[in-house]
Amino acid sequence: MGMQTIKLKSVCRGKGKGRILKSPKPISFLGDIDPSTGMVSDPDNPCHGVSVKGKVLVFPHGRGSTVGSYVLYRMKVEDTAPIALVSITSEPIVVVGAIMARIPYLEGLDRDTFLKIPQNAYAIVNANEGWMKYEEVCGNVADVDDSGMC
Amino acid sequence: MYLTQEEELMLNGEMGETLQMCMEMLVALGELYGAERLIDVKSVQISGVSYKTIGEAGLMWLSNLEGRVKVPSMLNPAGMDLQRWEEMGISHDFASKQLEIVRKFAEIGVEITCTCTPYYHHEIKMGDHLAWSESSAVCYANSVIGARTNREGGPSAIASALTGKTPLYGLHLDENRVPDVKIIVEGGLSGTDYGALGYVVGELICEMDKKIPIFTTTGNPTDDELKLLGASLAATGSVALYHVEGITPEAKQVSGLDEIVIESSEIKEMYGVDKEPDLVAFGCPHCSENELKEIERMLKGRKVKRETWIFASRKVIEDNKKVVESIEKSGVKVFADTCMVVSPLCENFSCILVNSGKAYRYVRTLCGLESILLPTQECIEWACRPSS
Repeated sequence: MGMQTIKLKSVCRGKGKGRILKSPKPISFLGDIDPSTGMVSDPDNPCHGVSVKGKVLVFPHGRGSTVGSYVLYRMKVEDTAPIALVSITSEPIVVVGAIMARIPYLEGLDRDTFLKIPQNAYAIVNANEGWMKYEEVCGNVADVDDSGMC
Repeated sequence: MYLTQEEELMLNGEMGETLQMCMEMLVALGELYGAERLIDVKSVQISGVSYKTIGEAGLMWLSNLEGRVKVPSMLNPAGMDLQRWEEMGISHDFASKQLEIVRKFAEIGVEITCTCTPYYHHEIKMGDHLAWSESSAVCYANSVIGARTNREGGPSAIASALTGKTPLYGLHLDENRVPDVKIIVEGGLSGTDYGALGYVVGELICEMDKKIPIFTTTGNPTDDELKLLGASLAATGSVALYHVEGITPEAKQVSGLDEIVIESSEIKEMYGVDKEPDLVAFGCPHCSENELKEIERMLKGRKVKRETWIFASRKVIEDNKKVVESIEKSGVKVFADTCMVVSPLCENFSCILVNSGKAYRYVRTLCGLESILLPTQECIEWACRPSS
């Protein structure tokens, strides 16, 4: 099975690739994630204890306080931020935060695709052209080349 | 989204990185909300000023901004009185970070107003387009003045300050300023009652998923009372615009709305003292000239017997020096630039008595302290009563 390509809407330009971390729950960057480590700290999130650092973070939408925009920026500076963001819908807090932090951000996933995207899949995000490719892989990120094959 | 040639240049980075980022933000928000184009704004008010709120990340981001504001731009309250912070018990570490944030804003041409009442600083008129941030100021500008502003986040307000523009959506458009729920107020209200009314109604309409209430009341609320009403509505119901029949400039009859009746007895239920306050605080939102004079009148030259603080903007304090001097002779401290919600001062107290529905809410939820709500006169009496 080759890579699945999805056309999406670009919110913040840029490119990135990495493993997918899919959060089934909406995310507030103020409170749900520890900015100093990138770990998901929301105890109700199944991703609790997993780091978003360097990941393609796939999530339904943002939520919570507007200070979350600044937190996303801080995570970028401290090198704990996701490499790219992909969501079903967007709201101003994460949109603004992604632009401040220059994190590539795509939105407009449909719910079925969101459910289908496998946890830990390898993804390439191109928010200049507005698409994401992903493929389920085995092994560690280090074993994955740009084509996404094991 | 349609952009002018100049806006395109900014977006493409031909006018520098800061303006590019600002334009990216405005365009992304505009597209998110379906704006056709950007419009010019008359003034900007920027939130996210307190170091307590934006922290190290905010300071870092501000430090990288270049350029100068294109329209009059004002600041929301900071985490301390910029001159009398030591008296407030603020640490040197916090103060130096806070002063750095303020200095950065001054460098890009922002006026260091540090107030949630920017309408006492720059006159605004009906129909003016603004990009303001602080929820009570937004509510006042839209409702009491009939100006037009969405509730901006700190960064998007900065983007508007540096470009002079905001996307045309939401409350900038006529069709989004129409009431969607009717509130019938039974019985007379005055002063703090309006803050309590806003608190109760904000919670109710939030549950009903309504956004723009229109009030019918036999009372004749003053601008100060409308300020308290809007501040509470914003705090508990995220309301950015309300109307009062016969009072506010855009209030119009709309038929077929859901109706809620509020009895004045429900409002008075908000008042009650179950714990002794160790701080009495006024000025949420920042006091007007009339509110300062009212407090002076109620004090009647008496000395306060427990810690009593008033918050107002530096301009209002300087324009009313005699009143402020007289109030301070009673042992009350009148601070500028900050308030009980955004300052870390709350760590030094356990229970704050307030005359504002908004402060009543945020002292609990944002500061994690106990709060008590009472009308202004009763707050003054508590201030003058010795601690037991």
